[in-house]
Amino acid sequence: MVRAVSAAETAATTYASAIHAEGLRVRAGRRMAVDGLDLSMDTGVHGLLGPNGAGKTTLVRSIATVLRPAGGTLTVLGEKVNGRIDLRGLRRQIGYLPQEFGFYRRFTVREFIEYISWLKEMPAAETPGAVQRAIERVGLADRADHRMKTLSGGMVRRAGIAQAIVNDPRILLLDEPTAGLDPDQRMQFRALLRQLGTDTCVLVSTHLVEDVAAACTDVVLIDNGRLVFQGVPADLAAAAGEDAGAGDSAAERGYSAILRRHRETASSPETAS
Amino acid sequence: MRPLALYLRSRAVPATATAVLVCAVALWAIGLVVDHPQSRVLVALLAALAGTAALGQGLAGADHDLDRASAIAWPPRRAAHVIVAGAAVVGLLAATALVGEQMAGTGQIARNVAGLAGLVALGAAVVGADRAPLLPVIWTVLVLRYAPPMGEPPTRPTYKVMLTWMVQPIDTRAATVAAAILAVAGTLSYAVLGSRR
Amino acid sequence: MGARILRIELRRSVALGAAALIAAVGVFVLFASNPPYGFWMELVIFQRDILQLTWPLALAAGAWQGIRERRSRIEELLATTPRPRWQRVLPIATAMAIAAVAAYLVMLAGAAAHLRHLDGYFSLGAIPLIALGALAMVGAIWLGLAIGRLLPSPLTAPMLAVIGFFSLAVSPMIVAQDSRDPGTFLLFPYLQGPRDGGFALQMLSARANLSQALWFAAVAATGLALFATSRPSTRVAAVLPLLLGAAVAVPAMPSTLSVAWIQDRRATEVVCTDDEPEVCITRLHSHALDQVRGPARQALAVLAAKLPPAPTRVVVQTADKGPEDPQPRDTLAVRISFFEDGVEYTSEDLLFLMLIGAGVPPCANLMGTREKPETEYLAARLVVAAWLLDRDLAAAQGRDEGPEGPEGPLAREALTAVRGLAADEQRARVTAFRDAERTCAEGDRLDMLTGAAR
Repeated sequence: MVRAVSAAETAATTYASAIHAEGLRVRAGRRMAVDGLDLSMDTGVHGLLGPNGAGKTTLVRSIATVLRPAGGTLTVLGEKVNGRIDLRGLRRQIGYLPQEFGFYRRFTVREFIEYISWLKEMPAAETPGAVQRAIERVGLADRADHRMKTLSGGMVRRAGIAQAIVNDPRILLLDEPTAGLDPDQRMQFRALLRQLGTDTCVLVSTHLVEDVAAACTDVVLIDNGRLVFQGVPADLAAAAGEDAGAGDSAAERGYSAILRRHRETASSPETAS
Repeated sequence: MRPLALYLRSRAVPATATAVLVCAVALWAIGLVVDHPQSRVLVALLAALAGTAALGQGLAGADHDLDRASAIAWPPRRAAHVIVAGAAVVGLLAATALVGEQMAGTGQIARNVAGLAGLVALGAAVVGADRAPLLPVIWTVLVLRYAPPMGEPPTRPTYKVMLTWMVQPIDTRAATVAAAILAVAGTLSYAVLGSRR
Repeated sequence: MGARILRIELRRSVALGAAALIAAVGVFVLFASNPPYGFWMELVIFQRDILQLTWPLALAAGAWQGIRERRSRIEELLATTPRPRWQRVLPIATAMAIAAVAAYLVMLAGAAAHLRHLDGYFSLGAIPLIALGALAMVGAIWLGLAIGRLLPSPLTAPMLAVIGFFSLAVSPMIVAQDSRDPGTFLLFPYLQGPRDGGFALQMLSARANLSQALWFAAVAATGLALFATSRPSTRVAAVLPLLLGAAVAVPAMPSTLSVAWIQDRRATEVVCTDDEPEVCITRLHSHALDQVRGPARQALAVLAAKLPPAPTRVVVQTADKGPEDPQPRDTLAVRISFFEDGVEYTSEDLLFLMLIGAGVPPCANLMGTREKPETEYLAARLVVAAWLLDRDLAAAQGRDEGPEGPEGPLAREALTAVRGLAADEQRARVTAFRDAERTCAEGDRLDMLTGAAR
């Protein structure tokens, strides 16, 4: 699959990594949900893991430019997000599937994705092709002209993925994309992730450790708003070691082992290697 | 008490109550300004319309399927919801009499609220709770040409009297019958069918 | 691309559904509250009048659409898109404006079926009235969008319909407390027709139209700006058009409504047949020219045969011009109040009506008072028509003035008396009657006809 590359995109490669956070603090309501996070991510598929309330969604939302950081620095595609007024250039290169994906129920799938691509200021000439390609990539081609409200939960999720990738983003943020997908669709989705990861920085927030193990090139584990672990999936599996943590697979055991170890030493600030 | 409180909150009753309260206060305030007796009846009718239109939102929960699937016997509860809410609106609007001269007779307020609330309930069953106020609002708007001071309500034939029930004087039998039919039909259909999703 | 999005919004928003609903309500009211309209201008003014109902409905439709982003829980996703809000809302605002205009025009087209003469005179003064009505609807729908966006609750739309209707119904009573018809009535979306009821012959002055256009445009601009702005600080600036509009339009408004309504001169000008003898009719009634042409020429022929020298042309005038001046001898002048009550006249009826008073309009100075009605005068005029046509009064059909009126029995009695005279005497008396009518000379007309013979 060839993706459209604009001149602006090829020019802007002077930054070190696609997403870079230093001492990042982001508020979610009154709570400081992300509290002193250091993180660096580049092209590839990054699986964002963590228990409920760890700050995953808040982190994703701040990278998506929905939330403004309360402290620290957040650099996305070489642009500092803190306090910037004009985020237009950056937003053109972001694809985002929110955890609670809202949509216009009366639009057809194609119309909705076309609408989103218009909002992402895509060139008009490229739009119809890009919309069709996005729909095909998530396997919704046979439902493209059905109303959004007639879709099942999994199909809505796939439509959400399609709208996120329609503009060939350089940063793709997917908050729980696999919720509601059947096993077959999840396999397809993993394949899609691998394909996207070759030239895009994909951040997938999920609870499904096996998705991460199967499709991600990089695992990010956070807890209480801080980074606990970052490494390749093999490291996650290896982290379990002799420790017989809870879980049915090596990755799951590694996940729970790292978390437990982190919490045992939670009184002292810890950054995982 | 707690299940009741939760139920009320799930049905946006606080917001509805606020809206109805605002209507009552506005009614009272306008009552201080307008002294033309016929316009006072019009004001009372519109306040009743606003109060009942506000009820529409409460006729459906946040999630249609979740409501459907829960183990409560819905029909009596739905009927009770409409009846209690309607009575509350009547009470509030009639209570404006306590702080000043009443805009319209309590009987007239009760008849109009009953009929309009029935229409809202019918609307919820037919077109869904969020669109339910369409029915009473459009009916009233169409009839208002015959409302004093803009016109005189027809006195015959009977079908015209029934169609303009909300602007008829309180002693008009056909108008009372029309309002009662709407109240019963609306409450029953909503109790049996529930809100259309 | 914007065009594609506009098409999507038109098809998928509430725009067209709301337009259909509003148009249906409007057509229903236009049909139900009046007998068929005689003239376009009556319909156009009444359609402006019922903005009292349709304007709040448009406001509610706008609010319903305005809460869509909240209702669909799509705000989070939209917040991450680069396109600025004002660009994002342009297609939906346009779609809603199209719906508002369409609703207004469809309403007019639908109600046109309730016109008695679809081909009747269409005053140029009706065009700004229609355009301003449509503009008021656009303002309502945009204002609704803004309110729905600022108060995104499901209660907003129904409440706005009621509150909007209510304020339109009650506020005139408050505005009109000190003077009867202040010009500030023109600030309201609905329009009150001229008080004297002569809708068909009047139009709004250019000044009234312009100041109203300015005000409606200011309301619409503020609605759109409030809907399109994203920051509270710019929201304050959005109210600016409203203030500016008020500052300019309010002083520019005519001081009273009666000044705002002016005569439509074109409506009362006459249009004539191309061929001789000439038959003319006011432009307002020009649709009836074919209908009156035959009876008019017949009337000329009757007069030429029985009462020479006869007039050579016929002018059918509107009713409000009661003559006191001498009438030209070459013209048969007819007043046509009888065209407006919706009764269909046969050619026979028209012929009779044209010859009442020997084809001279009744003199205003001879019309009686409430204490002493003009029964005898009208009876005399009827007698002349029946005499000219050699017809009995019982058979003749006149509607508001004629044998069925109070003057009927008197006229029948007088006709018998006249016919009892010698033929020469009859003609002499009728000729004298016509000469007196033409100059509106004082005197008892019935006595002039029957005189000593009685």
